[in-house]
Amino acid sequence: MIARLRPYAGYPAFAAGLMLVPAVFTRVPFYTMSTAVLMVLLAIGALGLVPLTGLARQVSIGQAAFYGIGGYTSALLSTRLGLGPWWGLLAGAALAAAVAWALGTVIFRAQGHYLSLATLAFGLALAAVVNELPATGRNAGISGLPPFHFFGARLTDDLPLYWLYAGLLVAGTVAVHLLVRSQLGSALTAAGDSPVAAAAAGIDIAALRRTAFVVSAVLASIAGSGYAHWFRYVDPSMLGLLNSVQLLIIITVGGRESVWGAPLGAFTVVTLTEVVRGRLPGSGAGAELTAYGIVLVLSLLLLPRGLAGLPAALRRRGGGTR
Amino acid sequence: MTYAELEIQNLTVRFGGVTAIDGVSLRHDTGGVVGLIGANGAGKTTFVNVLSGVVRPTRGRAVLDGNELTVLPAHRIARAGLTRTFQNLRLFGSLPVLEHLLTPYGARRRGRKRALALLADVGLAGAEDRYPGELSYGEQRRLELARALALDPRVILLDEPLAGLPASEGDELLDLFARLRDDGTTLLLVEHDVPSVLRISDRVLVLDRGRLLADGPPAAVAADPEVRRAYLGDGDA
Repeated sequence: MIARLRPYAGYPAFAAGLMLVPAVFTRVPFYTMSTAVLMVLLAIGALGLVPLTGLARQVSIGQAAFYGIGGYTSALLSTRLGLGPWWGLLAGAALAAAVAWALGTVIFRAQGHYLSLATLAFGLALAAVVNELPATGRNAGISGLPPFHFFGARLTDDLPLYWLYAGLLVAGTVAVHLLVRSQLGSALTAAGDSPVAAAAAGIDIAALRRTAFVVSAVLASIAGSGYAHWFRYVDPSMLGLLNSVQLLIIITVGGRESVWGAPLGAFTVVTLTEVVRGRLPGSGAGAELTAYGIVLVLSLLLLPRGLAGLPAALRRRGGGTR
Repeated sequence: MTYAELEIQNLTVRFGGVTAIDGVSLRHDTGGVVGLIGANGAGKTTFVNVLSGVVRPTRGRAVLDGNELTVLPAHRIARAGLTRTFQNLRLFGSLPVLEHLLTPYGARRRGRKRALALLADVGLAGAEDRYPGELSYGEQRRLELARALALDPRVILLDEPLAGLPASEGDELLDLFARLRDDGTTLLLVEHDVPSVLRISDRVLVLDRGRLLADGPPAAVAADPEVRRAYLGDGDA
């Protein structure tokens, strides 16, 4: 019974952590509720990389494109058509899913690292288009987005927005966790461990990878919509390559094979970015890059399975089995 | 036109200037163990790779029960009833043993009970919660075989299944192959251990530089002067 519950043992700690954030983040240095909202949004975006990168071992360097699709869909629907933020969030997710499905259908027909190259190209191309199209406001972007409403309350402050996004993160975590532990999760793991053996077992690897890619696109898009209605403004920098790399680093540092990797990674990477930003002279982007480099090297050297793999590593060191 | 269970017509595979399989044709009606022997580089693994969809043929085709395998992606070939094991083990290192037997196409529908029975058949009863990394080499080989069986295949291609096994474990595996044959599964056994192949096979194929040098019952193939000269070594087969 206890062994059966072990996969879910993280939830009480996760819930407690999320509930403690407002009390802690308003009292300690580096942290503000803005940092907390950013961490939760990044965790939602990174969550989709667990099935895609963690299980199926496929690397997307274009998640920011889906982040942008979410953000811009929200921006366009709310400012041009007057639709509420929830509609933008849903429409963005649907559009991201459709785009990922179409891209995945083409990309996954070939074996190899085509996803990385294709998503890189797609991300750069979409950023260039958004930067030029009058409809997306060119490089000035789109401003004047309405905030989220929840039971009649306008969520303009960071604290209520944090609770809303933390709720989305919990829902996303449960959904991805169920997927990881399902038959689909086993098949994705098999395809990641040995594609050729999985195919010999009758597993349609291309369809599986596409499904994981669609899930990652939907979650990135939700994060993008969340970002758009938080800042109430979008611009082409949302689609920047650094945002895609950031999600990859988050999931690598946190642990790409576990759903807890996304929140742990987001917390660690954002914290380090903030710490370095205060300590290093120069621009913010330089500080971010330095922080990414430091955590990535440390994580790959000390914890190849990420922070989420720490308990298992300690158990093994203690003589237990996995 | 009617097809035999497995029909191979003029199968040719070229890698650049190298012809790995050179116009191989054969038909196999049903069941039995077909041994495939040949020196290193004779094209044995390429033959397995092309039938299982890992490599596309340059020319020719292979048809199983009316399904043209050589145009299908690998997973569809497996679903059509032909699967394989690998010379270099390819297990799912992150999945426990039982999941190896539930993940293949259709296996979960056939149920956990059947998966456990398969594990027992290959001598891995009780290992269902262990991970491949915790198994001995011989156990890993048997797990790979059980994974192939979980697909309920008509034909299994076994790429050097005895490699690296001590004789006792090899004999156990050969007994298992004999049982599978008796159940009606066709086994294509690619092996370096010629005496074992000759002992268990109903039909033996000899590949030599991609060409089918001999094809017949084990005794006839072992006695074939051309085979003895090219492969078995004259006088000590």
